[in-house]
Amino acid sequence: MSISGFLVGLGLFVALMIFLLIRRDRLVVMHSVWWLGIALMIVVLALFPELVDLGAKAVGISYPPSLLFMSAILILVIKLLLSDIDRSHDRRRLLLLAQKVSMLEAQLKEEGHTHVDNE
Amino acid sequence: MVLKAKQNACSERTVVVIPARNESLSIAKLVTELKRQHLAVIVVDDHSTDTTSEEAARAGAQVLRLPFHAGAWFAMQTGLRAALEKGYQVAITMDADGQHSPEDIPRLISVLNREDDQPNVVIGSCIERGNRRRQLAWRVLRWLSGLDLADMTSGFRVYDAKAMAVVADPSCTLIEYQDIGILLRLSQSRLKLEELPVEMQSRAHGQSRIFKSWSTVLYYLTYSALLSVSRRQYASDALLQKDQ
Repeated sequence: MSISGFLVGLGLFVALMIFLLIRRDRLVVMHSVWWLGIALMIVVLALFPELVDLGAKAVGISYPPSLLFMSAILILVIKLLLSDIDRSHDRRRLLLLAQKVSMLEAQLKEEGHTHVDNE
Repeated sequence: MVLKAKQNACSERTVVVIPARNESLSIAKLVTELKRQHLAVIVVDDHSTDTTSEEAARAGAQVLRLPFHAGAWFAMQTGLRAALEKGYQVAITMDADGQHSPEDIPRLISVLNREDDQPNVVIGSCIERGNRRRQLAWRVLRWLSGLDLADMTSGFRVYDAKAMAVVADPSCTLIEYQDIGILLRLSQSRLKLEELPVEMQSRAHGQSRIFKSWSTVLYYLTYSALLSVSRRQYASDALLQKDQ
């Protein structure tokens, strides 16, 4: 199998995995757009490797594989940052929920309801 | 007298669930009309910034207020879960903006309760409404999802207890809209969905949150397309189910 064939297969495999994760409710749907974009890039670059040479020439990189590595690192860094932003958003909601639960527990206690679990 | 007793028994186990966000101008009138039909009403306030909760409560609804804005489907699921906990057997979902007429509810329920070939979900369908964007969205989604429904986005539905249990499941919690994902889940659970034509009024105020602009339509179509392709029934699924 040529390297090109292997990479096309890899891209399709990533895409299939993403669809299975959505099907099994393991991945939020819109998060898949990122990963499907990566799968698409893998397939495109596998079919048209000369694009890497063209891209390297355009930005002034003399060794084209460096552009691939740099792009991969950049994509992962951006993804990490977006994930942290998402987590911050979720953390705020979780804390709001904790406050709400504590206020409801206090209200229930005041109204004389039975034992409240303070785990 | 027997029919009235049956109707009373039916309305005692029936609840209307209304997700609402900033609908203070229309919610009280809607709840009042529903209370006239002796229906229990649960309004789920999706963290409104106006007096939606107060207006709904004053009109006689039970109000659940979400601690943050989480979307119409999440609000609806919250109401359906609350309905299941309270022991309701039939739930009607409708919009808070006056588009859906409470007078159509008895017709929807009568289809749900008919003796032969009972559906589990009856959808109040109005394909005449909607602009070009909505019509395009329906066509694309019908093709991608394989669902044979004319009105994919109607929120005016009646669910029986089985259907309520399916959509209240945690597997439906991360779904962002009440249409494709929910309809696919119901269909895959081998529940029967049926449509009944109803008239829908123009929105009393405000605008559609999904179809208000091309960017929101694009987001909605991208989301729904991914969900449709991932979760639709495929031939291999049908074969597996046949063998079981």
